[in-house]
Amino acid sequence: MDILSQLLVGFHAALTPVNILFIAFGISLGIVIGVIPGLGSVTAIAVLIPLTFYMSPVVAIAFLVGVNKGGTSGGAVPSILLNTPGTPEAAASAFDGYPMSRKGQSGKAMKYALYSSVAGDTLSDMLLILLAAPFAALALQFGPLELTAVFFFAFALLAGLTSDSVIKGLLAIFVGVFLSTIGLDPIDSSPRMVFGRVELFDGLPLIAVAIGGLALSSVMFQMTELWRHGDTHRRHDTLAADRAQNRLRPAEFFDHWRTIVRSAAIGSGVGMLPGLGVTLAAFLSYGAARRASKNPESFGKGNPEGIIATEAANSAVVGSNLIPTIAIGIPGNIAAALLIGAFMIHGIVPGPFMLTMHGDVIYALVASMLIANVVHLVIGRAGIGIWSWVARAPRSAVLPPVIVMGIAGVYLPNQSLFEIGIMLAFAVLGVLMRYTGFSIVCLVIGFLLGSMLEGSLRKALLLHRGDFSAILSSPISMIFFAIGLFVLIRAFRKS
Amino acid sequence: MGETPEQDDGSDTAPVIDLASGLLLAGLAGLALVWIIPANIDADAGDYDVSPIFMPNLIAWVVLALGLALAGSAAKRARTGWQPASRTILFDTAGWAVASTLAYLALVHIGFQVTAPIIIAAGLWFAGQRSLILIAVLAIGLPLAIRTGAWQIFQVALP
Repeated sequence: MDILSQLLVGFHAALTPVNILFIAFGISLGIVIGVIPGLGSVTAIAVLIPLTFYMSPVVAIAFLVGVNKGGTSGGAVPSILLNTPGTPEAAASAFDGYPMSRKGQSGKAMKYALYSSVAGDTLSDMLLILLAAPFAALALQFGPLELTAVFFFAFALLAGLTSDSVIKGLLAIFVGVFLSTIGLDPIDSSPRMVFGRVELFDGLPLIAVAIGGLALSSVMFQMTELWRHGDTHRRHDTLAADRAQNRLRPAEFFDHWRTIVRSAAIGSGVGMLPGLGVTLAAFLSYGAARRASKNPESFGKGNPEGIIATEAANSAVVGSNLIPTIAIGIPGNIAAALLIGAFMIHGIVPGPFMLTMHGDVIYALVASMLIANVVHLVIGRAGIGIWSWVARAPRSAVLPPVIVMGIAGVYLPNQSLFEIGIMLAFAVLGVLMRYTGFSIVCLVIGFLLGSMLEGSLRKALLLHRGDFSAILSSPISMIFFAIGLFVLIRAFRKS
Repeated sequence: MGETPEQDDGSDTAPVIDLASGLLLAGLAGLALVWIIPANIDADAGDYDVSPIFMPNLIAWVVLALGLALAGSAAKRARTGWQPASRTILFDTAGWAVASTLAYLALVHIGFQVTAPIIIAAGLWFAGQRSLILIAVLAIGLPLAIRTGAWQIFQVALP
């Protein structure tokens, strides 16, 4: 079947009331969480993954993708209204959004942000449809050696780009990989480092590691900041009352089509590469829009192109980061890494076989993503007043309940208090890592990809009888190893 | 990455911290190589496979080397300008470790319905929230809602 007919089948599977309902629920929840400064789509996805145990794979992943989409765009609301970005990727939206707010155009600025977000997201979803299958077909040519080289490349990129110190980035990744070796050996099922605990036979629970390391440690870190310094976020009331000043006609929005397309292209490009991240996409795009503008001096003073560039780019990352996830099983960013975890929980192994073995689920997911963009537009537009109200919620009231939600979320799937203990241990480890400048994101991605790396490395060693010069026999592995080495050497020199 | 602002915030990375982190990680990797891995993994490989000990050993060696490299570069930096490390790192981490242990023990021994309100109330107060009504509503209402939801929707009784 060609892509179009598979997509039609996907739409048939995705256009169910339950799926649409959960997409809408996910987007609403995502926007609310994105709007609250300090939380974000990563925290939201980590805490909500356990709830998806009880859903079908399509509904579960579509729900989480909805949360990611909503969370990414929701961050713009407090940026515009309060000059306080809800998420780091929305920080650049404050440069022009807040000045527009002060001119009484907060409603118009939020509409610009929402429409750009949906436009960027849609363009990147289309890119996902076009590129995922060819990339996966290419990745099917990869043997264990090539896959090991790809993992090396991904780790080098992650360590070089997400951490200030490349050694610390690599350390965090390899500690994560080491932790992934706990449990039964993937090939001969002999126990490894389980210390006689049956609970460890399946390895450390991914959900507990993700919620503890990513969500709870962030909450604990922020609570400590609040305790020490108080809530320092500036809160000015900038809601506009003038309806005419806040009207945004479609033609007025689409006048900026060049910025929309350019920003979506930047966001999609950044999203496809592991480790580069949403925030970088937003700032690159903002810079590009400013350079391309005839009035660069108007940026930072309420130019809507600044909002469009930021929001179209950060939302474009959401779709494109699934391209490497689906094609080779390597996440484009931490949100995609958590989605890989969700895929695995539902019995879908990420990688090039995803499309051949679970093509129905993947195309239903892609269709759900396109449906989600329409739902996002409707909910985002209808709820502008509500999001503005939520943005004013104090962090001190929002953060502590997340700890209790995390506890319940980890307990629900397996009813195991042991997993709660693991989650709390990783939360404390995450706090320590934040203080000492180690990337918890690198650790979680290393943990997630560790078993896949081990599988491909062991198979490669078996196939080539432990001969490392085999790398030279494969041009693909040579290219990935060479680029990885280049990235590492460059990062070493810089740091 | 789509993380929250504080996600990767290493707020204090004085050389002494890197030195201590590097040595600690190298020490843990050494411990893994000398005791944890040999004592807890059967090293025998099947006829057609690499030993199960291979990957943990390899990674432990990598962590040992990187830990020493980090400590070495930090020691070099420390020689040019010594900065004392902030005590808040130890204080905050130890504080959260104690709080987490207490929360875990409370969950095991007295259950979710009593522990969750205490966590929320203490957390709200700690974060600077002084509205007693809000604290009471959240501390009583949220755990009750979660417990009811877990039972009604998922048929799971929280501990």
